Amino acid sequence: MRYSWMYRFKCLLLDKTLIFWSLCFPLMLATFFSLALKPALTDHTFKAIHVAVVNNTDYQNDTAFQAVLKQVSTGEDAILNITLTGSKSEAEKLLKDDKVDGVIVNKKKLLVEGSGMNESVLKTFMDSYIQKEAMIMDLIKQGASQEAIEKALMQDTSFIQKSEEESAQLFAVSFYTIIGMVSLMGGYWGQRSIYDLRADQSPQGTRVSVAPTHHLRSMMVDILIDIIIHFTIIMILIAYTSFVLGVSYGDKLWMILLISFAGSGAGISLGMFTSCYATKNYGVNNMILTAFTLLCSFLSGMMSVNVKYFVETTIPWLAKINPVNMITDALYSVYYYGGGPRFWNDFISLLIFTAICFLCAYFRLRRKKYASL
Amino acid sequence: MQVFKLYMKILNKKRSTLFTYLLIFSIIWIGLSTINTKDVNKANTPFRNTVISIAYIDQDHSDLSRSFTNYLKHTMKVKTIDSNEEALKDALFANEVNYIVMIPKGFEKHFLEQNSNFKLITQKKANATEAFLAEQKVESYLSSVSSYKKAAPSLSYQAIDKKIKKVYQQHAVISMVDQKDLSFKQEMNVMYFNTLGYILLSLMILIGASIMMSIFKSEVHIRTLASPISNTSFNLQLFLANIVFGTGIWLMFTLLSILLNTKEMLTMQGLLYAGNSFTMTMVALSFAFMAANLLRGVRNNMEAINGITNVFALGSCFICGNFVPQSVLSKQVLDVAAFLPNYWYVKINDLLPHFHSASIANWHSLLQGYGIQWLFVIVFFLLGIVISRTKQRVHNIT
Repeated sequence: MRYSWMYRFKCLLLDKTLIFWSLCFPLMLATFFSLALKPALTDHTFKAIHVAVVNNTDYQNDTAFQAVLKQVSTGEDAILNITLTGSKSEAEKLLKDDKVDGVIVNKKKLLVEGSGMNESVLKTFMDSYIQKEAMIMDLIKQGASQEAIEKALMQDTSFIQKSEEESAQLFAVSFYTIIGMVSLMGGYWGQRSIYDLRADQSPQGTRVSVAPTHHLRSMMVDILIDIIIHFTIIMILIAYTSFVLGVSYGDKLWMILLISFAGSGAGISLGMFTSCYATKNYGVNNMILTAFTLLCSFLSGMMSVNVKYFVETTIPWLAKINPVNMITDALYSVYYYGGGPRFWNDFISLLIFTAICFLCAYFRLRRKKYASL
Repeated sequence: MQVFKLYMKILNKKRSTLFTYLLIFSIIWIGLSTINTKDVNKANTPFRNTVISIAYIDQDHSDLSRSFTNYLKHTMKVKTIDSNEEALKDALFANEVNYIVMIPKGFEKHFLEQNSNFKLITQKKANATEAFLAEQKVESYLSSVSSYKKAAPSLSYQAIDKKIKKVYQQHAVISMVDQKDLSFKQEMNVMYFNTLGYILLSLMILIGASIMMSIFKSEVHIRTLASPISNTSFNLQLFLANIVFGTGIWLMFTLLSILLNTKEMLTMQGLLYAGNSFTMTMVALSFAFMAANLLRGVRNNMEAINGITNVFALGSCFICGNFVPQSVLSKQVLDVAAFLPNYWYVKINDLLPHFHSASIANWHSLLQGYGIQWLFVIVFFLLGIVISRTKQRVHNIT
């Protein structure tokens, strides 16, 4: 047993291609993700919008509008940053030079260059102003006194009880999918083990098959070594994304270790399963695993977090059977909810997935007899 | 043309793998493009408000709550989600909704009685602009109802509701200077073709390179070396076979794009999109040619092919803007990305909706993008040949 361990360990560690790609690929991918997704998926904090106001006779005669503009453009909570311009053409030039997001020609007319978030905020502000003005005119028509109207408008009570979710790292989900994807790519190690165990796949397998070692024992030795190597790779990846790239995983380290370990096992058993049931060709098995992993990662939100949400809400059964999603979702639940039943659901699902793959692979390998080797 | 025929024979043998990949990548392609464009405002008006997604839970079922929720439906995109806490938090996290409003039972009664301690319960993500805008709209509506109630207490709620509906029909006039917006179909086309860049790269490397790896297997290759075919002819036949395979794949995806977006594709811009994706196909297959030559003789090279697919295809697509728009990527990232062919492919796709055939500047940008991509084709091909010759020499010596 000791020799089986030692030599198998040596054999796998000497496979430099597999080691290189298993370790370098996730680190490189995580770096690319960090470069692209961090700025793209960080919530845009509201900043005062630059706007030009045309200082024409309409504006000069409308003291109420001037007062409102002054109110919304001063203080820490200012929503507008106003530039007064002498003429409309001057303001349009600022707009074309991207110095401002919009031009207030008068209280009823706004000039913009496109339809973005800032333009929508400006439109809402302008709409709100003229609606309030129409309301005041209507109240005057109703016979309300000026004092009553002023009192009604000056109210500063809010009608809503606000609760803010902490600004969470949306991009973190993409990194969790990398962990999920890399876990499943542990399948390459599993495939390699089966390749070296089966007499109909490799000359090494032929030699192993004639040895008087029990199949289960050879398989267990391989699985344990695969898990040790692959789990170490995942730990390096988690440490890199956490300490170098600043991805948050929450504060329950033992849960992260547990799910990563289970993920490693799931990947390796999946690799063994595909090698036993797909084809005898090692390369084709590799490709099948790649395709399956890519599809699972896509459905877990690797290329767009919206995909994960879409699948979970519209095709929940697909999310539940997707191993990459189980890992991604478990890491997400540790980060966002601090674990809880959702984590354990994902963890148990992953164990069931691993057990099914492993048992299927074992039943395929056991009592395999060859007429000639 | 023995090498060419051999390539085609192996391709035929691998057809089930090819179809599996085609199916999976088509799902990724269509799924990603569709889901990423689902929240684009589809209005045909020149100015389109940014879509603010909101969810509400009405426990009051009163006249006020009905009018209020109707107002929400008119001004924002209301989405239906489960009312349990986890589902709401998930939706906020994934930006599926930007704001959640819960109207508690008895809200109308307390609100109209000016009981300021009884409030709407809202949830939002801290510091998000979309949530700020949603909150402005909600506060504005409620303060209007409250102002009417305070200044004209004799009015019934039904009368106030009618007046508010009339008041909220007033809108500022918004005009556009130099329309920069894309229509929904144009947005969809950009997303389709940007994502297609990833699909083409992955397919060419995974299938094209793996076929070449089979030909480069040392026991097969040694026999090829013994044949009277020169190394140049061998490489040219291989590259030609790659071109035929790549063109077939490109044709399939182009036909699919025409089916999905017929009106936009059968235009000058559609032709330029197709031309751009064809150029990208050539880049992908020349890269596959180079990668296969590079991995000649490497043990377990299939793992390396998988690694290259994931690192080069997936990684470069992230930093070049295939999945997220180039406009949100930092300048430093784009400066690095400019050294990759994908960057120029995406740049052309982003330019095409604004393309005017009369604009010299547009043609200049277009030809620059095409030219740089073709330069990559030549560089990858030549590097492939050089690597092949070097390896051949080493092989001859050993």
